[in-house]
Parts: sequence; C-alpha cells; structure tokens
Amino acid sequence: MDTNILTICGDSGPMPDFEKIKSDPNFIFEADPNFSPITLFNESGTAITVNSWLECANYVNGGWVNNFVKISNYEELLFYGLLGTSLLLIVLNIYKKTKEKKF
Amino acid sequence: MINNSDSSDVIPQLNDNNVGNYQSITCKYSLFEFLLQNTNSSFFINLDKPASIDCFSKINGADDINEKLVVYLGTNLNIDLIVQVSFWLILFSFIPKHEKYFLKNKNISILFSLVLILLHYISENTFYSYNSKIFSTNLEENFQIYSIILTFFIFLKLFSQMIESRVKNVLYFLPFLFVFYGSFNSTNLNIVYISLMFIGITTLFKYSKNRFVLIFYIGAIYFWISGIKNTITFFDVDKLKGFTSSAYNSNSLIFWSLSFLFFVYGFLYICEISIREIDLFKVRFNFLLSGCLVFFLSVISALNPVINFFTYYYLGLNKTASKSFESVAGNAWRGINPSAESIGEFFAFVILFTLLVAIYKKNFSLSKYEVVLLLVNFFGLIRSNNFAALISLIIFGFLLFFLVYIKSQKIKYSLIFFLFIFFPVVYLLFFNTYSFEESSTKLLKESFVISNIEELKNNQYNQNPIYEDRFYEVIINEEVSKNISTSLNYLVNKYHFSERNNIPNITTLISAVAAPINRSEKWGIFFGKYNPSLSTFLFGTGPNNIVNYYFGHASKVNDGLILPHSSVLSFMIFFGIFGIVSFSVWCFIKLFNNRSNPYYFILVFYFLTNLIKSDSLLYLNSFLLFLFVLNLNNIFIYNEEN
Repeated sequence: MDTNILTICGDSGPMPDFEKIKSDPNFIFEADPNFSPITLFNESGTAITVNSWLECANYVNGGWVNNFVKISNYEELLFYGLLGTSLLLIVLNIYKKTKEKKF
Repeated sequence: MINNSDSSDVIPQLNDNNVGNYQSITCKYSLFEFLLQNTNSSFFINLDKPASIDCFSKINGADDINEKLVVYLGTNLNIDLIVQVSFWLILFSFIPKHEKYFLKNKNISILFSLVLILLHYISENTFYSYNSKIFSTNLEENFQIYSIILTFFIFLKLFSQMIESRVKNVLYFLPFLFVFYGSFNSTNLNIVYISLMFIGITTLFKYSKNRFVLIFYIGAIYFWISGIKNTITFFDVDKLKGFTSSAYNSNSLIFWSLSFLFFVYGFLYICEISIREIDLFKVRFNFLLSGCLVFFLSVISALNPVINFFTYYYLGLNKTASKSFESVAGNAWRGINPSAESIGEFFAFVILFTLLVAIYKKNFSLSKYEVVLLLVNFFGLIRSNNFAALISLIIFGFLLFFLVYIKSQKIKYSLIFFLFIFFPVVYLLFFNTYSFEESSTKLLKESFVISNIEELKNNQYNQNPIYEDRFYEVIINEEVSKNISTSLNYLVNKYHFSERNNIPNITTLISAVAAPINRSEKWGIFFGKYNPSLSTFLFGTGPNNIVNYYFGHASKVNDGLILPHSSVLSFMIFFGIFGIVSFSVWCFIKLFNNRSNPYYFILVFYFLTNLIKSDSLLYLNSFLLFLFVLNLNNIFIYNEEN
C-alpha cells in the first residue's frame, strides 16, 4: 500500500483501482458515517474535505496531502538555513579582518 | 537529481498508455528515478517552473502533445537560485588568481545591490507570480522573498571576495559567456549582470566622474519615469531573459536604468584595469575554444532531451537549446543560443579576430588544435546561416589585408574603393530582387500591414490606397489615423512632401536600405509599432525596456517576441535619437583618434555594420563583446612596426 495513503487515510484493506475511478465520470464517492472527515490540501493550498476512505485514498493518490503548513515550512526552513549561512559568513569575515589587523 | 522519493515503489516506464498514471503521481519521483526507468524511452522535458520546494527536481506530470511524450519537471524560484549560483560560483573559482586588487566599500555596494534586487522583484511581480505560486510582494512574513535576498547576499559576499584576486583575469573568460549565458531559470536576472552591477557600484566610490555621470543619469531616470502614461504589468521576455524588463512601471525603470549604468561601469572598470596586460594569443585561443564548445554543446543538446535540459539549466541559457538539427524558418540553426543571428556574428568575429591577431603579431602559425577549432567555428558560421556576417567577414578580412600590407596609398585606396563598390554592386545585381521604386515603398507597406487599419475601402479592382502607394490618403483618413503610429505618420509625410531634388528622402533611404538586406518586414513592423511622443523620441523610455514599445501602441503584432532586428532601432527605443547621436559622435571621435590603427578600425566597423541589421546588443554576451571591442584600441596599438 502507498505509504502516504496509509499515513493520511489509514488502513482499509486492498488498494482500489484508481484508474477505473478516474475514468468513470459518473463515479460518486459515498460518505462513510464511520469515517472521520479529513481536510486535504493540494500544492497551491486548495483545501477539500473527504468523507470516506476511498475518497481520501483517491485524492492522496493524486498528490494531495493533509498538512499544508508542511509545504509552507519549506520556505521557512530555507530562510533560516540561508540566514544561518549569512551570519556565519559575516562572522568569518569579521574574524578574518581582525586576524589581518593583528598581524 | 537528489530529491528522491521515500517510496520503495518504482516509477513506471513512460509510454503512450500510462501518461494518465504520470498525471496522478505528481511530485513523487525525482528526475533521477525517472531516468533510471526510462533510458530507452523517447520523450521531451518541459519545466514546471512554479513548483514548490518539495517538488523541485521531481516529475510533475506528463502529456502526449502532438504524438510526442512530454514530462514535466518541477523547478522552484528559490532552489533554482541556490543551485545555479552555487554552480556558477564554482566555475568562477577556476579563474586563475593573482595578487589582490582591492575593491572599495564592498559592504555598502552589496547593500545597495540588494536594495536594487529587491526593487526588481517588487517591480516585476507578475513575472514572478507566473514563476512561483506563492510569490507575494507583501514583505510581512514573506520567507520566500527574504530567502531570495539572502541568497543574493551570500552570492555577493562570496563573489566580492573571489573577484579581488581574479579581476585582472576575467577578460580572458569573456568568450565563454557565449557558452555560459548565466541567466537564471525562473528569475529575470543574469548572474553576469548582477556581478558587473556590483562591481560598477564599487566604482562609484573610486571615480568621481562616475558619480558625476550618475547625477545626470538620475535626471534622465526622472524623465523616463515621468513619461509613463500607462503602466504595463507583464511582457514575455522570452529569449531576452535576464537582460530586459518584463514590466513597465516606475520601479522597473529605476531598477533597469540604474543597474544598466552600473553594469556598464563594472565592465569598463574591468577593461580599464586589465585590458592592456592581456595576452592576445590566450584570448584568441579562448575565443576559438568557446566557439567550438558552443557548437559541440548545441549538437549534443539536440541529440538528447536530458542533455538539452542540463545545458539549459547549468549554462543558464535564455531559452532551451534547439531540440533538433532543423533550421529555424528553413534557414538558420541556433543551437544553444537564443538567436542564430547573434551567434553567427560571434563565429565570424572569432574568425576575423584570429586573422587579425595573426597579422598583428606577424605569426600565422596555428597549432593543430587551433586549426580544428577554427574549422569548427567556420562550420558554426555556415550552420547559423548569417549571410551578412559571412560577407562582412570577407570584406573586412580583405580590407585589413589592404590596410596593413599595401604601402602605396594610391593602390590601397583604389582597392578599398573597389571593395566597397564591388560587393554592393554584385549583391544588388545578382541577389536583390526589388526595383528601386518597389524597395522605396516596401517598408511603408509592411508597416501598414501590421497597423490596426481595417476600415480602408477597396476600389473596383479590389485595391486599397496602400496597394497603390497613396499612403498619405491613409493617414489623413480620420477613422484610421488614430491607429497609425507617430513614426509611421512621420515617414509617410516625409515620403509625400520631400523636395524632388534627386536626393532620396529619409523614408526612401531607410526603405531602400532595408529591402536588399531583407529587413523590410522587420523594420516595417518596428515603424508600425514605434509610437513615440516628441520627448520619448528624443530621449527614449529607458534602457533594457521594450515593454512600452511593444504594448504602448496597439497593432496586429502583439504576441510572440518580434524584435526590431536592428540594435540601432532597439537603442533608439531605450535612449532616443539623442542617445543614438551622442553615441555616434563619441564613436566617431574614438575612431578618428585611432584613424591610423587598422586593427581597431576593422573590428569596430565589423560590429557597427552588423549591428545595423541585427538585435545582438539585446543579448548580454554580445553587448559585452561590443564594449570589449570598443576598448581594443588599448591592445592593438598601431605603429610603423605593426
């Protein structure tokens, strides 16, 4: 089973045929009262709420995730990485200049 | 390549039947994983530029377009900058070192550069919105834009340290700008432009004349900004990426105007401190080698889609290399270059330069490597199919020979006279298919073709006034006159009301020059679109900004990048007739002062001749080569011995 589907939607038996679902324009996902609705996000941050395991698995298979904050965090992580590198460069520069002045 | 999936599943081999699968498993498998499974598949790679950081270098879908399989590869604004800057800094570190040559006020210059770069991102926000889904100019908690600024900070900090011990060797590597263009994938900037801009800013602290020019230039910027009537948010820069604005607003004018001045300062500074010490044989070898590399990389890029992607990304090409060996519009092959015309000029320049150095140094021996490289350059010139560059190479080659080797003034000038009469006459007799009457009106007809004039009434023979050369009748027609550009209006007036004194009027002159060199259509489009007011005609709309020219006046040519096909016309858009005249006067004085230096004369004239009919100065590398040539009087010092 796809690890993303397992993590986000949980385990629910054999994997359905997603191609068949996708190719059927009349396919309707039926809400499962025993399934706790999950909100999923795509890459651009659009949100949908899925009401059954099958619907969830179908969307996750198409690249949707359950945590949009995780996507934005990449920008934040990158920023802090670059900030750290910049500060390191400045410190090294100051250290180098101080050393040159001493000798 | 390294951003692999965590999944143990394997991406299926791409074929016509599983394109749908690829569309549902976006942003999961890396390019490397895809290539492992598709060594024998046939496909093209298209870039999905606005992908998120997580999807960088991952396969983001596939399509079957015109029976060709296309896979989409995710790239990201921030990561592109980091990867490309790192790669080019590594390359830059290979330039040999010398004793340190200290730049003044580096930190202030870095700070000023960063402010300009920030201004650039804010001013061209529509371009960046197309290249990043989360791009915003709101600076509150905007990690993306801060990351961009920090990336440039790190780059400029490292570059400022590296350049001090390499600045005198930089000119040796100028030819390699035709191999490594340095344009970013998803940013409308060029690493060479930013580097020279930074160096240019440091020169402000060194030379008072630079500060003096800047003060006047700020006045010009104020003028250009005050000329904005309507802001234009987006222009598809296409093959001009990194060296032209994608927007027309006050911030973009400030950025491109200031950065252009500093960029020129930077390059002139490098020339000033190092050009006199240059070893001509080394430069010649590098020109030959880069010409050969251009050709070699063009060939392998056309052979393989993966190499095509890598050459685009790591050489920083303005647009992806040709994907086949087929010529553009049936006559020219551009390879990795954005323009077949400009690379044709480069190949011809390399051959001319090789000849010139041999004559100057009185050393005609070439190593076997250099002979092979020269042949490859010649083949490149043939493939680029730049007839004008080839003919000018032949003419200026002969001219150089006459000027240097023929001592008798009488014979020398007779031969030169013959040369300048012979080639045009041969061309006009055997290649020109237009009569004088036809060629003198062709430009106007082409201009009217692209003008928004549908209301003209046809006569009983289904002919309209344009067909019958009654152009003035068109421009006085109230319904259509508002759709005629001011430049076309001026040309029509000159055509109809000039004195009949056997001297061609300006319209006839331009049109008659344009027709035999196959520029009637392109220059016709230019005059159909070029709609300056008196002030913008005199002083232009600012450097590296053709947006207002392109969209300021409605015409039938509003999509696809159709350039003026003349660097003179392009620079008239930027600096107006005042700029063109000033540069011509400066050039004339410089040539007059070097009138006894045939080497300098030949190279400058070779360039000036070609620039009349090509857009080369709109490309960063050709522009720098032209500046380099203008400074060559410091290398080719002519005396009786030479």
